[in-house]
Amino acid sequence: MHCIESKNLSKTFDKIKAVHDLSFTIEENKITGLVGRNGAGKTTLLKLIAGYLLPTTGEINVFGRNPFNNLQVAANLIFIDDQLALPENLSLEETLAAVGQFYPNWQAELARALLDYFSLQPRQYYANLSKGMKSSFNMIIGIAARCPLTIFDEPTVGMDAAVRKDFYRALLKDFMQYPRTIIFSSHLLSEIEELLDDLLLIKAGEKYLHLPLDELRNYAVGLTGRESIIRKMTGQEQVLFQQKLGRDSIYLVARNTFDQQTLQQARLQGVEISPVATDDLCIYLTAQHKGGIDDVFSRN
Amino acid sequence: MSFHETNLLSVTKKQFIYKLQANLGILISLMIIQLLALLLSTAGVSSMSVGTNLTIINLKIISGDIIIVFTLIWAFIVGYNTAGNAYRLDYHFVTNRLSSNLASGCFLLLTSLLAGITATFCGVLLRVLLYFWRDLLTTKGLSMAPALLMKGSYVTVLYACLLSALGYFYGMLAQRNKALTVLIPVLFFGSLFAAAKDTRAAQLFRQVLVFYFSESSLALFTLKIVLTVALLFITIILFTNRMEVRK
Repeated sequence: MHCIESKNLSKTFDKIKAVHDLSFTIEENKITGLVGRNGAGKTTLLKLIAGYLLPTTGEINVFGRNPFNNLQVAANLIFIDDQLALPENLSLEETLAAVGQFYPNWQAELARALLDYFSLQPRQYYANLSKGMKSSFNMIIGIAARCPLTIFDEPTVGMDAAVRKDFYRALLKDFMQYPRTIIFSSHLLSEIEELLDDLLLIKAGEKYLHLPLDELRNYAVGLTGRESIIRKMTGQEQVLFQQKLGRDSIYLVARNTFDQQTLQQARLQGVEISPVATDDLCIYLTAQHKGGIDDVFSRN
Repeated sequence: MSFHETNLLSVTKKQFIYKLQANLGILISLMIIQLLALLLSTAGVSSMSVGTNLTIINLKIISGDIIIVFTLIWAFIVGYNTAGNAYRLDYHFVTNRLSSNLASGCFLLLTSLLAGITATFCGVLLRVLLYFWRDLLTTKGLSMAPALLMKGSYVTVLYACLLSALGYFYGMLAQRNKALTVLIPVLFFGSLFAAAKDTRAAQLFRQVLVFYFSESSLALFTLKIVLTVALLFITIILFTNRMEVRK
């Protein structure tokens, strides 16, 4: 069953198209990563899914219903980001109890155990927490709510590497026990790719890629070697990224449409063939210039 | 994971409880406001002196009106803040615009009830204090018949409801459009100035005040307040139904 269905979805703010003609479906009980550059429209898309914003044109359906101002949809999703506003007069444990009553699947014991694990004092107040600790607390709410649709919009802001790792693991463990639809937006694709089933990449408000992560890993190859040889084997449209390494050698990332024979031949001619890390690939795919930041400095 | 069906009533109830927990602090502010008003009241609301060469009579009128007025101002502010808090806090967890407004309404009803009753009983406390502390020329009006006390509480509760609904209404308009935050007070105080002059607008304004503040029939007064509050809330519900949140 589809959990989320979007058809030609657009959202415009003051003439700026934040989301533009976006069509996709997200299946139930999968973890989907939402990736894109700053300002690509990730948060706007997530807020449209959560029913906070009205689409300018197009249609979005969550659990087969229009999410905007919809109580049934709201009861089945939780949206966690770093803007979470909580009552100032409640301590962390009181907040957990107050929030928990909204959710039928709320895991009070799990929340308490996570609070303990991440060294958050139950008597502390949210406002006095550091940025990373606030994120940890938000994440605890997101996991313990066990909502059929759980949306994390950059939940790891301010967390240190160790806490992030624990968080990913906690999420995965809980997901395996209680599968649900999770959308996870993050800039740290290399860290979360182990979690993900699918990846949705958006660029300037439009869908660029939506595919299982295994396919993404084989989406492109990196070629290092003499420029003349590499140029010969790749068509212009295949090139995703290129970087000069010296006078006549180049590192080039191309879409992997080569057959085994071509690659074998290239290897014999001294071209080094390497896999491309998914996070690098996403950067290349969403870049405006094929040479990256180097383009700016090599204008003259 | 299976889809969970819910209904408006249960969500509104949860949200009402959440609001209560989040806003317990306002009860302390109510107590402080009423204590302050109580202290100010002991000084008297008006005084005059009449004197001959031999004697001077100082006449002080002391009443609990200041407590009521302060409480009503508090009710307005609570209404305004509830609107802001609803906009800021409600939409993180299960809610829609309707359930948020209904929960706010229930919350304001409860605060109005508390405010109205405590304000009236503060008036009783004032009388007790005066009895022990001041040399009274007369004890006329010092004691209050229980029926009158009940009636006083009832009327104050209704006024508190009206004022907090107005505050909530203003707060919601302000959330929707920041320009209205300025525009509405300007219009309100502008009309006060206009009322001071004898124009047609002033007549209208005075009629509005008379409509709400000079009603002698309790039943009619109740009807007026209930209808006005209902009208304000229905307007807000329609007005916020398409409102985008958490922008």
